[in-house]
Amino acid sequence: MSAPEADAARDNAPSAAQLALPPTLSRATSTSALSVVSVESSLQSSPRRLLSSRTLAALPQLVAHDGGLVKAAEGSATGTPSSSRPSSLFGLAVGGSPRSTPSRKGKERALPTDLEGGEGAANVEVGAAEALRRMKRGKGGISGPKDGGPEADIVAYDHDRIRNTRQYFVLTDAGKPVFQSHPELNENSATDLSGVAQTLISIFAGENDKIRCINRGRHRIAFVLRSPLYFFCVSDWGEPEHILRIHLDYVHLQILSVVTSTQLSKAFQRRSNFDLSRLLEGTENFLHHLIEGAQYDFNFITSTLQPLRMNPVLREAAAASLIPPAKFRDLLYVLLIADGHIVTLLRPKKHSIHPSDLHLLLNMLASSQSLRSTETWIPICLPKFNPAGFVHAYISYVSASLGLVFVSADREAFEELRAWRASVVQTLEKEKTLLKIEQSIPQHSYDVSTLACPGLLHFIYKSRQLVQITMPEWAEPYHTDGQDRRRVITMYHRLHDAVHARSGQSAPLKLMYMRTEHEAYLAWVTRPFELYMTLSPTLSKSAAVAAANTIAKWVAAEEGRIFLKDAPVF
Amino acid sequence: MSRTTSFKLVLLGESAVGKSSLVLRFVRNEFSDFRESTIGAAFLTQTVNLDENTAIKFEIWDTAGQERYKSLAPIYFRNSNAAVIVYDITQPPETSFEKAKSWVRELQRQADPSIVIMLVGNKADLAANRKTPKEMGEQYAQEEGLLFAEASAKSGTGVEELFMEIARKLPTNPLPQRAAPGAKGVKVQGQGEQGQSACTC
Repeated sequence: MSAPEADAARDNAPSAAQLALPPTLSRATSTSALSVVSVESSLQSSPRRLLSSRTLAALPQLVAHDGGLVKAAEGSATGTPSSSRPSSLFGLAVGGSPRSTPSRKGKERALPTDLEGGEGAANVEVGAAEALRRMKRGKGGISGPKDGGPEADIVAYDHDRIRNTRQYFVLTDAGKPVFQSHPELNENSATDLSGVAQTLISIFAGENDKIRCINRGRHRIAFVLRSPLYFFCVSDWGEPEHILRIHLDYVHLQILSVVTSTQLSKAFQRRSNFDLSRLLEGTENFLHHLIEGAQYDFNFITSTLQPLRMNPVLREAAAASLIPPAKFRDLLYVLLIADGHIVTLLRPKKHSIHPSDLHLLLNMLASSQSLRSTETWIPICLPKFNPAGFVHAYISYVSASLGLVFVSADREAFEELRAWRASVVQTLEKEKTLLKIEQSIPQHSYDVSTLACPGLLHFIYKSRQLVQITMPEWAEPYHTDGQDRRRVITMYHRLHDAVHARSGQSAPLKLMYMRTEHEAYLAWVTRPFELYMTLSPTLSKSAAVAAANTIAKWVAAEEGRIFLKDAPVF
Repeated sequence: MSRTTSFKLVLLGESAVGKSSLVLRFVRNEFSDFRESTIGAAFLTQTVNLDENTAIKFEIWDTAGQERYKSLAPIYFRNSNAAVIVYDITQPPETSFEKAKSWVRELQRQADPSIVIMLVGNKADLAANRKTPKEMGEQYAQEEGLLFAEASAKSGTGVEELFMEIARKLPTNPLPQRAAPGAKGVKVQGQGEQGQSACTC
């Protein structure tokens, strides 16, 4: 983010970082600053280990310095929603002339239609935009919306909802619609929209380019191309492009978890106009649930988990009862879930588990009520483990909120896992472990006031070693999923984008402070953790820094309860 | 004192014909108009008393009807003693009834030859909207040597009866035929099924 309102300490500007920190600490932090790049890149290339037993380095500390590590920005950074109704769902011209929405304080370019491709985007831009307008007027090869059709016939659309709802679409590379997240909000049919998207994509493909994103006014349309499937998302939240692409990647992974990449390519090899929606039948709610969860999510973005907050001794006791007999050679993962949160997770020595595979498992559990009432044996593809084949999950709920999940590579393992489950439950019941876990569920969420830190409104703390996060409940005014929470989460997304340089920024940042009329925000990246905070805008910078240190100390003290550490391997 | 014998039973059929609804009516005497699709296969048990001395415990695989699971079906029916193949009488015969016939053929090819097969036309409460005549099911069942019934998971009509009829056909004298848990026997692999296992270990 090149936001003019924000000042930041850059990694490649050590003088700025050192200014902010007293000599004793600057060494420690600048080491972590140096390592950020390499850690990031090693995270990118190697499979992430969820459970690492590395111990935390000494707690970094943030200190405000005279002159400020950051010059606070005054004025509004977030755009307040403009009252103009979008001229169409996408904000792309339908009938009307393309209207340029006033840009937000120069943060985004005010091009009426700004297409971003890879190389050569500028050249294609005009062609693609023009093609789109032509199509929309019905002059292109694809049938557009009914020309000049009486608007009054169209149902009264809820424009507020349209404005705030991100919409997700999946189509085949032949332009056939596969999935649409909110068909009820669209005046155009999925077939029309998919046709338009497919044409746009192929215009770029014709130039050996890939369309990535269309920005127009408040709207952004992000594309992810994973032949034989294409994905796009329309949003007006103002989040960085990479957030939408992560969402779309998850939609792709969710589809793969039902239909493996092998099945997909076979089906499309046989017939390029294959109707994939038939194969996905019955799992639409998984996609809807995933998308709903992604809206205010930080787990997907940071590729982390948020386990149940509980007594670590109890967690260990549960894990001890779940160590499988050595004879289960194809067993991959053993999970105990409480109210959708992981209590413990056991894995073989030779495999780690990728967080996104776990997210898909958890999403499946959360989306299906019927799993709670019977024992189930489900083939599921965990794409990061193996996108080409199924593993098999034995799922059985011990109570309404406590579930056991055993994942095996052996599709014949049901009987032995079922028999083992009986003995596991017996042990857990004998020691009253299940009851105690059940009683921990209401203690999971905590209030930001627990930290006794005035002016601190919300935070997200990511442990980089453990690949887990913790955050307090959303308090008023963020407790409902309305505009306020949307603003904060979008800010977190922007901070995340900036500190990781996900939008082509010249370097990642270590520290970033922003202030708007509503809130102040601070992002702080160190070797052991990433911290994103929302603060009262009236709070002084030194108080903000004090709050950051308070959180880091609090988490260090609470770590055993908050995070899942040292779960056994087998 | 009665003796309990366990038998494996698998439900097969097109999606949305009411397989899970039939099972839930039989096992829990429950019905819901809005059920989510089954994913994978659900496992349930129910014990019925055949007479004073004999009880039958059904271990039921309620399989998902979706096409994508088709290649996994042998996991469930290979060791089954009985199969309930379900179609929807309110659909025209070329849809779910035709699918039921293809399941019958599949079982005749791949299942244990002694398997007891029951063909069930579900949604009998909607007989006013019937598109597949009862005689069609009866006749096909007779030709193929299957048991036949129409039932309604919604009203409960005929559900218990059809499972009782299967119970009476099952051999209660010999030991249960299925393999004991743990004794997995020979893994049947590469019998025309694509490699579905993801094991890369």
